[in-house]
Amino acid sequence: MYALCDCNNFFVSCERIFRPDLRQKPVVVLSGNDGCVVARSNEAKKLGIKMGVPFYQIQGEVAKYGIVHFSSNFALYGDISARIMQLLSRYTDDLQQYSIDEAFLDLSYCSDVAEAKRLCEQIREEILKGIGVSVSFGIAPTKTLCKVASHFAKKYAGYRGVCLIDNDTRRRKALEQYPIDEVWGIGRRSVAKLQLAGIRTALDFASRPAVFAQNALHLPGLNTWRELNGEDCISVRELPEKQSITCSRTFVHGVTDRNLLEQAMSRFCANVAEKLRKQHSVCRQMFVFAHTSRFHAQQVVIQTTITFPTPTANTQELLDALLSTVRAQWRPDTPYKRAGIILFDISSDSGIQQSLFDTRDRERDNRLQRAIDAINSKQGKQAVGFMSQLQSKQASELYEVGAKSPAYTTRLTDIITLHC
Amino acid sequence: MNISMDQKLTDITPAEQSGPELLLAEKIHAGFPSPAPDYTERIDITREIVQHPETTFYARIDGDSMQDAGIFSGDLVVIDRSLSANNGDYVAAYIDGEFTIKEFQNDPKDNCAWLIPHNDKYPKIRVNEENAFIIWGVITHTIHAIKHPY
Repeated sequence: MYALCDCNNFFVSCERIFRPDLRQKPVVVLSGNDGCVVARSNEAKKLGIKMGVPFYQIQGEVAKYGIVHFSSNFALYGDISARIMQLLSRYTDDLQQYSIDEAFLDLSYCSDVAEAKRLCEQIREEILKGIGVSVSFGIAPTKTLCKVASHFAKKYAGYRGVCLIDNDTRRRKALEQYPIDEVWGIGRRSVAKLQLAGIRTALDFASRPAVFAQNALHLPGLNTWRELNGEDCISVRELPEKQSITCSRTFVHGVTDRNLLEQAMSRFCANVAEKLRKQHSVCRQMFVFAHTSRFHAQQVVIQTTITFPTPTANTQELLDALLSTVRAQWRPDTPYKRAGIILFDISSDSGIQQSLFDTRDRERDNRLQRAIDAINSKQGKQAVGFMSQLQSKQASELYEVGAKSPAYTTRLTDIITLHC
Repeated sequence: MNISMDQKLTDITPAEQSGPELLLAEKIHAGFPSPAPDYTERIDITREIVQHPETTFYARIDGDSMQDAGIFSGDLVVIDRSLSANNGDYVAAYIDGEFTIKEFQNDPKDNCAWLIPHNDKYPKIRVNEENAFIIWGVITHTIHAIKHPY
């Protein structure tokens, strides 16, 4: 038996810990710096604010309803997440974190579902009181069913944050109300195929014979089918790798200096490459871009997709490609306002097919990379890196933003003040 | 030059002069694992102060309403949110839009609670449902710097 612990509106919840005045108020958190909504409080959801909508498109609602907005504060969210995970790990030997705000607990040591439910209710109280974040639990025999259960735990207040799928009646009832396109592990293309076959809900899919799932969606789909039918067969490590990894920023003022632009983009590059290595993946393609402002008379862009003959996660190799692109396409006297890097065509780093004409010493590159990662994980973000990542004070000021909350738990000068 | 180096060498080899007994004793010990590794961990004051790392937060004091309890402006306080406030505990409370630190007293007979300052200049604060009031956490320690080493 598993339980999925899923934080409710996680980024908003983190902000509210230190801003109790924002309880019951509509709050949104915006992405890094490009201003799309990435988290919403329930109040903001009720006002019809959609996930991913650019902030400038909701200016009317913001003014009308007094929606409070924050820039993402990852130092805070990361620390609060770590606290929650640490607390959860006291209750299971096998905690499998799936994302910054979700983790599976193996609760097979509980003697029955009633005990598991009581335990989850207790953990929920502990996290709410001790950390200040509200979480939901979905308890079920498989991870895919946990995800379904946690959806209902959030949706209906009557569950009080803990929903159980522990018998066939409950399973069928839940799957009947669960649209097929929300089922975990079923991608967009698979949804289209299944809809053509007349499948609308998770139950429609789970009720077909196994051979249907196998023929339509192959092994991953068959595993999802099994999990929906109560057979535990997917481990977190097999869950889909992220399809793309992005780092992009809007600069406060347009950047005309080539060195500064290179420094900023090199840091984005080191950042995405590190994320890629952390999930044990490599990428085959990198999209590099830098634009002038939309309001600049002439839109000038640096933009290239680079394809690597041998998939890679090596910062140095990505940097080489990035810098030669910027150097070839950069124009003087041009204020670049927004820049970024997207890695895609991502696959697992095991069994890389080396290109016949590969000239890199990959073994040596990897050793260097591992050494750098080890130092950075101890000394902090990008403590060691390649020359072009070197950050001048000027470069660090390129993308300061106003609406970000203090680093309440990770920087001593940012802790809260008690007036007395 | 050479002479002075020789002198230095003899100066730093006192073991040879201290007799065979000591040398023998050291040889015997060499066969055993050094006890040192068991004792290399230094005192970690955080571990003494922080009982529940997941639920512990820090705050800075601003004001003098708790000075008679030895809590001064500029002090650092340690807050454990996992604890429940009992009568007499010092709490970090959120009331009407502001974080504050006071002694907590529950008064169920009067259907209210009291936030009590420790400075005669300030009145007690009565709180009931009408206030936007939260006990944010319980204070476990205050850290008062006597001298800043920098």
